[in-house]
Amino acid sequence: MNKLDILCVDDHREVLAALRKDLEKFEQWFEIDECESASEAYELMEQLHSENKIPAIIICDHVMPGQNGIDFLVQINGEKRFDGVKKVVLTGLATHQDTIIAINKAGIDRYVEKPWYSDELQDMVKVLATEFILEKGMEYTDFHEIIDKETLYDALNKTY
Amino acid sequence: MITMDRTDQNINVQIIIDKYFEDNPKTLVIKSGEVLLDRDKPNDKLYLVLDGELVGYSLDTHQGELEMFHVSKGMFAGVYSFFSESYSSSVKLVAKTDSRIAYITRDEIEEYARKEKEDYSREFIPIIVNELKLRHHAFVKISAEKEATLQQLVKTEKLASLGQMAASIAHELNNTISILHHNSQWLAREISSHLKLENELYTYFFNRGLNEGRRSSTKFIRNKQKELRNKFYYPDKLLKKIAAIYPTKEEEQLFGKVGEITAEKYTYYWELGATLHDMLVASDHSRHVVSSVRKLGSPRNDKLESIHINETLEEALLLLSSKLQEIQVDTSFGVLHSFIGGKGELIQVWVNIIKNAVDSLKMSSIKNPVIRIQTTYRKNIFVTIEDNGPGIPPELREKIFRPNFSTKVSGLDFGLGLGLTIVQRIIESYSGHIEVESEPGKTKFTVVLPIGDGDE
Repeated sequence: MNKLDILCVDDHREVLAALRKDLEKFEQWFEIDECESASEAYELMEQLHSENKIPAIIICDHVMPGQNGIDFLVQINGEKRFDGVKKVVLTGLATHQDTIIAINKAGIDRYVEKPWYSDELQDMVKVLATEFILEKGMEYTDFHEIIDKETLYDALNKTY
Repeated sequence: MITMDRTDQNINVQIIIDKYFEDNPKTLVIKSGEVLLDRDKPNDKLYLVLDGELVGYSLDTHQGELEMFHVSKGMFAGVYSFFSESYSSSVKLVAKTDSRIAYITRDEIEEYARKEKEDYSREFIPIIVNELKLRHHAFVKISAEKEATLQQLVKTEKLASLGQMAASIAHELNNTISILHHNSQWLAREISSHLKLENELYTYFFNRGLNEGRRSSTKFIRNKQKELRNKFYYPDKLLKKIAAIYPTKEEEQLFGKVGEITAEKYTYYWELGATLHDMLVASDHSRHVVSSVRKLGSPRNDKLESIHINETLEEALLLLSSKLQEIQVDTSFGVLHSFIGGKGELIQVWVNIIKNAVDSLKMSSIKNPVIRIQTTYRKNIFVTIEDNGPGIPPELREKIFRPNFSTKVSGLDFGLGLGLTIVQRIIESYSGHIEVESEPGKTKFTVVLPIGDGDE
């Protein structure tokens, strides 16, 4: 079984460490990568791509030095080779205008406000991972313990 | 001859003065406070002020008498009642100072006009128009002043209620932050002493995480992890954890020797320490934010006493010691006059300025970061705080003292944009001032604090 990749991007190591602790319970199914800037994350994604991999989920801080999270996700959204990557913005600075840009231009799947709750974040990761697995036509039985049942049934109902 | 210095009026006015007021000027003298014309009282005279000043009042339904206009040397009064043919005054005209006034009656003007076969009202049009203009100006001015006062009032009220709200939020948060802070500290102590009983090395790695926090960047971790793959046959995940602690050569050797299970334990205890470090830093930061907000909202609550500026600087450096670890701090303290002020406030001033320098140095990752602090005494106390960071861009230099200005907008280091606003407010409360000079490689804040008159 190939593990799924989750890429976490935040300029604060403390936040990355906290995110990692929330995601550690999925270690069996996920590889967790961490980056401190958009440019570092882009570099890592190119490297993954050269190994024929793309992240299943990017969880990205909004306001960072250098390129900000929204602009980074807009860029990713515009590249064919990163099609299907689930994009999550994690932000301490949610303003209405930014939300609109994020949803319209960057194809953001979820918008999470800091401080976040561990169980909500974990549930969200399950749903997004399930969507990714189904969309990519992966063998979902490998992941049955983390598959979100509702998302799976919805998808199956649509197919038949 | 009566001549008036009238720069704002048409030459026609002088002609009128020559014509009607020259030949037979009837004058009267009116003492300060006396009423020349009253509202709705008959008037059939046109007045020309030769000396002094009068004020016209209109009746306002809300506020009683409202000052409408001033009439001074060279200006006409009674224009409205005279030319509107109501022969009744619309305002009350009171002498502000002792005044000398010339006048003509309606009968006299008509008599004169009959003799000359002229239509006098045409000649007086400039005066009437000018009068209207003056009154209009006065009215606009009054409205504008009123509007400005109102806006100022609204602003002050907003600030006051914002301050009250900030103070009550700050109070609430202080309780919760204290709980987080003290309990984190307690946990850190307990875990440390508990681990000591089990294994000195557990305590060692725990304390390392607790004291130093997360020194490894994500890039460093990935590179180190790669490097360690060639050295140890440990699972990749463990290699990542070892890389995260920023291991020294000796520690790396130790990890290689002890085997997977023990190495896993060491990194686990390090992570415990680093997590508590994150919590303590976060609660410290919250406390700093809350105290800034509260200072902004409330009047001075420090007591004034005789203090030594050098000591307040040393305390500020002590408070910031954890942030200053990788920065060289040069101090050159002169012999200063003692200063009457609030100790806490001054410490806050230095902490804010030094913290900005630290943040700018850290953000630019300059090679040999240095902060220089100097105090001198030349009639006033001069404190300069200088860093060799990238400098403040010229377009931002003007804005840095304004509220809501911040370059720090994210995560744990986010700024409220209040730091330098508070600094400026405090310094100005001591009649001092703050200046900034900045170029790449040198940013210098100079604070000048005057010592009281009695001490000079």
